[in-house]
Amino acid sequence: MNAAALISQPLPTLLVIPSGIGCAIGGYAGDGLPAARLLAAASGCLITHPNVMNAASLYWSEPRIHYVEGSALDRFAAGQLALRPVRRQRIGLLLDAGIEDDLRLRHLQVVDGCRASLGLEIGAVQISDAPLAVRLEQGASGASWGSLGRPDALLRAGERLKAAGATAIAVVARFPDDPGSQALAAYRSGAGVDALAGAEAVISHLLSEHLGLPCAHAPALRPLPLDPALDPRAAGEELGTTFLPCVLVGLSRAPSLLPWPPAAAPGDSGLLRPEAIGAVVAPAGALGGAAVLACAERGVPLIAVQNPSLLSVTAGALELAVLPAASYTEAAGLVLALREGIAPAALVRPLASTLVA
Amino acid sequence: MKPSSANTRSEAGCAAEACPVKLQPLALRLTRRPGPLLAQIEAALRLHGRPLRWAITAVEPGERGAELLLEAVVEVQGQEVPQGVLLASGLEGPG
Repeated sequence: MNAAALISQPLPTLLVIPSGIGCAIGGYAGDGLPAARLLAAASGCLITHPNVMNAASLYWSEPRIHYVEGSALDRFAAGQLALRPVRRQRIGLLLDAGIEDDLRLRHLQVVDGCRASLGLEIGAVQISDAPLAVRLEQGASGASWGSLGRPDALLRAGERLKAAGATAIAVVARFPDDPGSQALAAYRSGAGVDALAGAEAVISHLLSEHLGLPCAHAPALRPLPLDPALDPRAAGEELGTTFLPCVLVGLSRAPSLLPWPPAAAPGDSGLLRPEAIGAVVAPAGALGGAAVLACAERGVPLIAVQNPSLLSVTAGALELAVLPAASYTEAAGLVLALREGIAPAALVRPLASTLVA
Repeated sequence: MKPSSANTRSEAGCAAEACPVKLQPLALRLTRRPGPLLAQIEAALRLHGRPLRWAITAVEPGERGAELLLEAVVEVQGQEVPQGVLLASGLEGPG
């Protein structure tokens, strides 16, 4: 390949905006999506996770963005998975037995709508053999976490869907309603943490790691009373009666997950290989996650973006070398520079003189 | 690059029926040692179960080096959670 052709090639870039830590951009209802679209345009190939892309009734299907569940993204960053883009996935729907009949019907009608209006292939539906019993928790840092009382029931239902031919799984678990809580009020006003995000991530991590399939989660909740002061970043979650449409759209073209390195040569030129990752973009105060550290240890350029959150786990604290960016707009410029083979240091002043080592 | 064997529970031959699983929230404090950080974190978490989700949530100065505060959820299968460097089994640990 000549140099001109190489420069026009995409630069696979990871975008990480951790869930449940109150990031000013990406900490709400899919409000990281504009940044993702910009970075996809700059890189030509963006790999990111559902927290960035999911805005309940709102979604954006973009062929340059690969929708990869968080734990799979961690394993991709660590060189343990490759990603195989697909035309479509056959989505199985896993419903928590704890969901009431009327809420279950709402979700099944979302499936019908996505089949009828978007042409998605959504096949088997399974209800867990016991209520999943989601618990919401909060760490000492203020980050949202959570757990499941019956992970075994989740995994059994997932296994049945995989056996029925599902190649990707959308999970809907009944989450505790708490419409009067201070945490929810703070989130809706744009000053709080997504209290559901931590438990959602645990559910999708567990299922994806167990089955080796793309998975994503939507919580089942009762609609909230109208809030005239609702922050625009949270609005995506208040337009409909479920959070499921974005998950179904995201999974419909989510890449398949291949253990890496493979036992035999994959013979697949379209494969996204972990060694091709050209940059990782993450909040400057939230660099202490698995994907970022794996990339940093492999020498992948790390772009640390000012995106305030609860955490202050910075490059200085972790002794990481980063390319700092004041905004996602600046980060996109850095990605473009890397894609074009321009040394980022050449773009700032003062430019230090060359010294003999 | 790590080998790809047993990346998932199912690849390790562990079906949901055969391996009843519990999820355990944890808060840990880890003194950073020289060398790659990721391996240190994963080894510390594995003392308590299979790491499912974790993050460094704070870094504080310590006498023997930087101290990392970790919040995590691990998978455990029937065994007791050891108490070595555990600050809390739940996430109300380090203040």
